[in-house]
Amino acid sequence: MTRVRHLSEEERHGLAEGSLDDDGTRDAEAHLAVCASCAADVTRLRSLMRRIESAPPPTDDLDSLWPGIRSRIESGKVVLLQPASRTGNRRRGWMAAGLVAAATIVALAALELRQDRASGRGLATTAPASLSLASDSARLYRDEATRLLDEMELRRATLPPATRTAIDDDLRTIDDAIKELEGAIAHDPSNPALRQLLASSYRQKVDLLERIGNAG
Amino acid sequence: MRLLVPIAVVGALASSVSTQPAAAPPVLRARRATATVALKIYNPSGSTRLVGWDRDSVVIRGRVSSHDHFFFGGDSANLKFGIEEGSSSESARPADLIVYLPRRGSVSIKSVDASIAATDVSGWFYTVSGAIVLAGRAQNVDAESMSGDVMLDLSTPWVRARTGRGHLVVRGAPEDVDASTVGGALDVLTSSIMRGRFASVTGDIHYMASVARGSLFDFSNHSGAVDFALPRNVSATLDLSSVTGQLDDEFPQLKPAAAPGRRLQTRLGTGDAQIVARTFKGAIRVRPQ
Repeated sequence: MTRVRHLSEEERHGLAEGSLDDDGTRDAEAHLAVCASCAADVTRLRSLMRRIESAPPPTDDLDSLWPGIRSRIESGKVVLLQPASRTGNRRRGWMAAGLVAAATIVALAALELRQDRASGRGLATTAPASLSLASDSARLYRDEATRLLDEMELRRATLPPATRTAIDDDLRTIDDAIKELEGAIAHDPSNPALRQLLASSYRQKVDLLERIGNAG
Repeated sequence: MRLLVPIAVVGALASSVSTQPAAAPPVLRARRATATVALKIYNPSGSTRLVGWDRDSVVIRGRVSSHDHFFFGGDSANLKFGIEEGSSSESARPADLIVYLPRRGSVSIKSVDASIAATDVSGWFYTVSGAIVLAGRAQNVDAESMSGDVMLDLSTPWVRARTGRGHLVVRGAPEDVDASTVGGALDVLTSSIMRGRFASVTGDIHYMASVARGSLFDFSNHSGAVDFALPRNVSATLDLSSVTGQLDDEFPQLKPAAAPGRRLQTRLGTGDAQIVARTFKGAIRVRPQ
């Protein structure tokens, strides 16, 4: 049995808008003569293009369409939203600035590390600076995670049960890691590797909470 | 062996995006678009396939349940479309969409459990529990899944990828990669990366490729392993440390330059790339390919 090769999307589109070359048009037309499926599709495309060309330009912009859709979605939700804190946006701005600062700190630490390597200095000599930078970074990520946790509670209720379970498991996994690292730091506070791992775990938590926020 | 499955999945899904199905679903909308058109797409359930093409138009094919509403709006530079639940008390029925858009365009697509597959498309891809499979060329890619697999086979200057317990695979020819999982395995199977940051909490990280000259890598894991399979002639400096985990090396030339506790700093070849890996209690293994 020979399998029929249908026209590709490009061929169908090109035929409908008349942009195929002569050979392509001839081959495609020949296929349409024996293939009802492709012929019907090209006919639909031609009809669509005629309608598009004759239609007036859209008057509604995206911003005017979305609120109506959004309000219909929101009206079906049963979660009672707490009034937003007046300082929320301002605090968010500060936290964004904090994260930028954290990123800068991490970048500076990386740069410092590279310079140290280039100059032949051992890692041990840079430990105090790395320790301080990693501590600041972990603290900023931790503060951001705390803020995002408050927001997550609202999002969480709108998610399917299986997803909520997955989120809870992931958060527990990260929190267990953080708890373990903080315990280790209590015993060895001058270990920069522990601080870097803690910052990495908090970063994971911030990422996860942001993903949950995006689900709404 | 375990890597063969995701590779096969990437290949199969990528090819399914680029080839024309025998009977294409009907056209839902078609519109002329600028070369850099921005699409905002919401398809909660089912699947969305995105294909970048060389035409100045956006075509959307698919089938939508009669219970749900296909919304569409915007102009030639910005389009927004997707599936809106017919009733606020019900979830949307699965809808399968195929979207063709200009290669230089970008998308911002969100789904709940719908899978997302794309070829030659840039932008932000988000799903709660579906899988994301991206292939081809892209300007930049940001892919996030709460719990689904993320498979990347991309040629792109910049990519960021996140998943929770899903499997994350990086292949193709990306240059700057920031990828992490919480519990899922993370496999890096490409030698093109110039800057890479890879992290997990409990998932194993596997790096199985060569390293580019001048490249920088940072691997971080809590209790998962970090496993390197490098060519015998690799040229890189290694800084590997684990607080309580095991450090295993099978490179015959790998001699610790300084090894206080569980730390290994050494140079292979002329040290053209820099690799830093740290774990709390996960093992770090370095072995020749």
